[in-house]
Amino acid sequence: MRSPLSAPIARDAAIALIIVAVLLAMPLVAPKGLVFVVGTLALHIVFGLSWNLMFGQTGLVSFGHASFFAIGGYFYALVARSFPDLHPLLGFAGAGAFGVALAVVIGLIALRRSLGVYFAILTLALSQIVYLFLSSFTPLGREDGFTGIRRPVLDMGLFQVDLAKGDNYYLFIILFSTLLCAIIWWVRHSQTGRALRAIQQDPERAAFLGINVAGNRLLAFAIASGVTAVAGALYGPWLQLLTPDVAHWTLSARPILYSLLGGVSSFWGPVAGAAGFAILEYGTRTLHGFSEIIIGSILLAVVLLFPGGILGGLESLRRRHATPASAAKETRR
Amino acid sequence: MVDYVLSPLFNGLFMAMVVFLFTTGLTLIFGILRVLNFAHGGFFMIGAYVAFSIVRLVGGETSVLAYLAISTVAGIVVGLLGLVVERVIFRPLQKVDEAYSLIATYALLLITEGAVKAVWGVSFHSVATPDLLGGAVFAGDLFMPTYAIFIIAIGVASYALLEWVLQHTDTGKLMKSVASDPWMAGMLGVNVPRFYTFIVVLGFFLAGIAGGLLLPNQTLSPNLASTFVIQAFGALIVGGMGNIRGTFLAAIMLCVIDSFGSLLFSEVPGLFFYIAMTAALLLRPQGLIAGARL
Amino acid sequence: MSGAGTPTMPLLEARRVVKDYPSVKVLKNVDLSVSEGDTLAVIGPNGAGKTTLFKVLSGEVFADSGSVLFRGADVTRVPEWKRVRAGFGRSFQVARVFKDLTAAANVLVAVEAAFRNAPPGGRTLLACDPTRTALERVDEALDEVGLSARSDVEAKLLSHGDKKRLELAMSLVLRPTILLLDEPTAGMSPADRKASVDLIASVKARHGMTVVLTEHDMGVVFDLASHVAVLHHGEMIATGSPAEVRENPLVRKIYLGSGAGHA
Repeated sequence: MRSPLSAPIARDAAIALIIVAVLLAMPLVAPKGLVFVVGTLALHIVFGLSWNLMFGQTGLVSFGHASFFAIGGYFYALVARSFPDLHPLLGFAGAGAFGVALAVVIGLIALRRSLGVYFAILTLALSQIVYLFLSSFTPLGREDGFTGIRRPVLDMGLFQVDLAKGDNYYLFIILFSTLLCAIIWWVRHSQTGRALRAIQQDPERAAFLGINVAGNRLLAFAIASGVTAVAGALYGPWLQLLTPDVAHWTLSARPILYSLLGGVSSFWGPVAGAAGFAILEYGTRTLHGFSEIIIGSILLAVVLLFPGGILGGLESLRRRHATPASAAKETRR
Repeated sequence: MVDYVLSPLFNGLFMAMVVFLFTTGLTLIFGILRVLNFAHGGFFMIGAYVAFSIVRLVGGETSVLAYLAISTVAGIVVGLLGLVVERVIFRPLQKVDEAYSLIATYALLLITEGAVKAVWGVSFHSVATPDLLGGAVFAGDLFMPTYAIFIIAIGVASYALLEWVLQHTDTGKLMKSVASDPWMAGMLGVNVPRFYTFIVVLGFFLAGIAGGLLLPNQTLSPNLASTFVIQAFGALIVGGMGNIRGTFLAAIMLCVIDSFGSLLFSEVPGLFFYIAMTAALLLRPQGLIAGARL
Repeated sequence: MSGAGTPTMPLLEARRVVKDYPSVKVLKNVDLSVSEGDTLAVIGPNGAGKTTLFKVLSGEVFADSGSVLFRGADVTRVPEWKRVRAGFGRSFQVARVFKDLTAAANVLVAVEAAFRNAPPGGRTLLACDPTRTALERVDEALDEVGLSARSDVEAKLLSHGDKKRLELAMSLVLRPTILLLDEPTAGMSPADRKASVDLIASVKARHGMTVVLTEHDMGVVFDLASHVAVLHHGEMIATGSPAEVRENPLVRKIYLGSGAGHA
């Protein structure tokens, strides 16, 4: 018999399978513009999920998450240009490793002294430094951006896949993003994830169970940053261009919006939030100015009416109709 | 001497007062309502656009007096918007988690950006400096634009005024007591909700008037909202979570360091502001003026 | 660190501990010694420094001067989580549990923290579910404190007494050598208090651990403690068996003279 404490792997795998199947079938039915939006959305889902690993799971508020997305992207672009013969998978992995290394260095300094709003503002300041650096550093293209990032040929030993052809890169992004999301899911539901959740709830209490609070916070920060750096690396060839805007603080606000919009306490919250945001953006893309007004108003309405996010709102609606006993069970994840 | 000391010092002070004027309203609202208002930049921008429209309407009138009057009108318009925002958004936000109030003010920022695009379009605009302030003063070899001197004077005067109001008037004492313990203030008969309305309107008025005053310094575009916000957050937090004196000192410290830093490393303008901000947060996480509210 | 320690060596010792806060000197050269198997009650009026001493012993704050020794090894500046791994357990004055997690999930976090290096029952790298052994340990601990029926209830919905019990279960699965209990019966009804005393006594008898507790209620102190230490204005004014302390003239003067009305 499965314990109520076990991870809901069957349910989540089923949901994931359906979503991935639909996304993989997209190019068959959807126009090119929409396929592009969905590919970007997949990367933004990774972006949102990794941020929420820090916030919803561990209790760390980062305002500078976009800088890791940008760093991963520029790192891959630079490596791919400098070493054209390097296997692209090594390039993507390298971007992740670079993101992790940078996060460890920053985390060792920043997490030691400051938490809460200070950590948020500190990450904001650091991301501004990254943004200014990318905007002014000539080898990275300054304001014009890093141009001509190619979609590579994937040499898998037995066969080769040219990601530049047809929808190949789109399919590659969907599959790779799924892998990254699975990593986040696994961390979240592992023993480490449970320790992180304890830290989010009450760090001092967790320490008195022998949990290394600082070490686990650093771990969450490093994993989230590394995963996001890989998503950023995948984004460069998708757009074939990177501008400093990917490091701008308004992009750092995105994973926060996704998570709070969808609900921070469930794994699927940021997924729902990112999808909802993408739909809004796609639906209003032709309305100059009014697009921001509509998106902003809907965000405001969600915050004021459903402070638990979309999924939290649905949950409480469902609970209102459920019996108290089954409601108690539903609250467990 | 002039090139390496006085000139960067002067430029740093000028930037500091620009940041300070931008930040006063933000500090006031954060200090009392504990709402970190992302949309502050948006309302600053609306103030600047309103002033721009009036200048165009009256046919490019550029006397100093008209410029001050126009800025005040911009402040009043934005203050009235603040009245609406407080009723519709800030008041319900008192009940939700801090993280959600942050997302709400960000949503509001998006709305202001959209509104500016819808009303004024996306093209760039600029306004001439009033005639009297268009010149420059030379002190020895030090070149000082009159407009910069004027902004420094306005910044220092605003600080002195706010400090005087806070320390020596009943309104100021009320502000401090509500900031430190709204529940107790309510017990003692203060109408706290109405006081919050007053603070929000005042904060927005300050955003609007700053938008008008700093108009000649800016190129108007819908991106204006997000350019100052992060620097303002820096001054606010480094200063010590919402007190006017801390914000004033932090703005000066960060901007002057940045100004000297750009001498050493001119490739990345603005870099040293954030380096100083990072260092300040790490070395003094409690802020320059710790513990004090307003 | 010496393994079992010599028979004469106290398990936990505080030597000339000083702790100041900006406005007050809270602990002034406090000495304390706990031997293996003791139940030591630290008593004293409000503001005597009991909670601060507790924090210093558990590692929540560090002493300004003086030292804390555990099995003869200096742990004065060892952070709390490392002390826990060395054999400390502690509860809080107001029970602190992970409020959004169920009772069982609360205990599971503790079990897994205790198992972190050597998970019994083995685990593959990719498995994320808790091991069978861990789940059994959770059930055992909830059973021991009498919370089995409420294992799936979110901790924030538990009663005050149940939260205290849950906290005790979380400490127990760590198999501590020494258990620090900060006001274990604070805010309880007399019936709950009696049940708690019995629970602590039975837990101690079963696991053979050493217990240090602070307490206001003299009945609880005399029911549980083998030793008593009296803290007054940050100074240790008396230590000894409950009977000795009860007869101590200085203690009588302070307690009875100040009209505290205990005992």
